[in-house]
Amino acid sequence: MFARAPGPAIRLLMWSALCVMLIVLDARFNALGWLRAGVVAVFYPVQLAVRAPFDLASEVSGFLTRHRALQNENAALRENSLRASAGLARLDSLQAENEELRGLLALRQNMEFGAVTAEILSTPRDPFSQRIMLDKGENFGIAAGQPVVDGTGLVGQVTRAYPFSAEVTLVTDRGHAVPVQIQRTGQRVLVFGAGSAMEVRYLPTHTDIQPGDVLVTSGIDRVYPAGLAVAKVTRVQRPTDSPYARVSCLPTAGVDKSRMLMVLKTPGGVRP
Amino acid sequence: MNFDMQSFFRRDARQEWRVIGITLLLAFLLKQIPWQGWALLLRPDFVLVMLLFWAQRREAGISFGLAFVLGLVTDVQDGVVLGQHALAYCVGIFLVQNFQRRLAMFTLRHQALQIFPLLLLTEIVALVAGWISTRTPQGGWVIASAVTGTLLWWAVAYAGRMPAARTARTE
Repeated sequence: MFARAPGPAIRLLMWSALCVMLIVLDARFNALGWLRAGVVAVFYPVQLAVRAPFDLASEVSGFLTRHRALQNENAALRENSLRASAGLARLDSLQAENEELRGLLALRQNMEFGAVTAEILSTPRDPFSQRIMLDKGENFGIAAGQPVVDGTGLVGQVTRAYPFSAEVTLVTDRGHAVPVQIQRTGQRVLVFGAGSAMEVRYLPTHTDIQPGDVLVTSGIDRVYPAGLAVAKVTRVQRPTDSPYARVSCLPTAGVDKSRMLMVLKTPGGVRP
Repeated sequence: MNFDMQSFFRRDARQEWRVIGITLLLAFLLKQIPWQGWALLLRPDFVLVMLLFWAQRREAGISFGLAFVLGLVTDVQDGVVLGQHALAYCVGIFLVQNFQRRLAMFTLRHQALQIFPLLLLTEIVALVAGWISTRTPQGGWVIASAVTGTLLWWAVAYAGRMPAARTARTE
């Protein structure tokens, strides 16, 4: 009766059962981190090797950019730098004043933390999952839970750290919530990812919020340091049939534009 | 056709596995290219297409173990739940092997028309598995990659019919 090898349908069932077991172990119990890390480590060199010619090509094409474009860019950068240094001077005086006030209030100083600059290694296949891979990982001290920023604001949070790479979930990912403050009024709200944009939920209709308001991290969750720009309010609707206002925002950071990102090594990194 | 059938049983298994290995490696490397924007949306799943091609072409098919391992690697590289693509790849080669003899009766174009629903179904298995396990919305772009995947399958199957490929396999 058992002399014959099992037929294809039976073998498919057996392998499917194994797959389902893996899915359950990974999704429910998060127990397969070691397997993931191993596979990523094995294929990381291959990924780098295949990428190399493309990087080279983009470097060469960048080298051949027209002179005029470079001049324009240079002028724009110069202007930016002037403006930035003026702003920086103002910031310095503000910081000094702030430190004085903090000292007076005997408040705990905001801890200084290190930062790692990393480049985007790849975007996963599904462009709607709002995740990216960075080319640096545990070898540079990156750990799950650390915030990721670019020059203009918060980009996302490290959700998985591998030995040589790290996975970042962007702020625009559905199911990613960031506790923020409306900069103008100081009110604390929650902002959620909504595909390529973001939205503020659970905000009573009478709240003082208007298009153009900037949302910055409030720092009360101990994940994100306070004061990082997160989003700018683009539209406020106050529907009559709902107790909550509908507020749409756009992330201030170039979430899908910037290539170089910075991972902040916050001390109290909390796992997402 | 007659020539093909006779040589079918005489071919060197080791050489065939070498060709399978090289094509799968090539497909895997193509996946590593940093695809962006529209190219990423339209990118066929090279490894899956190659697996389905060999599952149909080899009479003995492709083992579930190989499909499972390749699916697991895809899962890790896409950052999705482990087992999602492994399950889909296993289902895909099972379907193709199930219809293997039926497919062999058709011309290449009609075979491609029948590969398309199989490919789509395989990608949908991966999506449904991912959605059930994590409840995150999944992208609906599988139709695009199933279309490009079918075109790729057609090209690969056409290349596999070339005289050079035939003699390489039969000697």
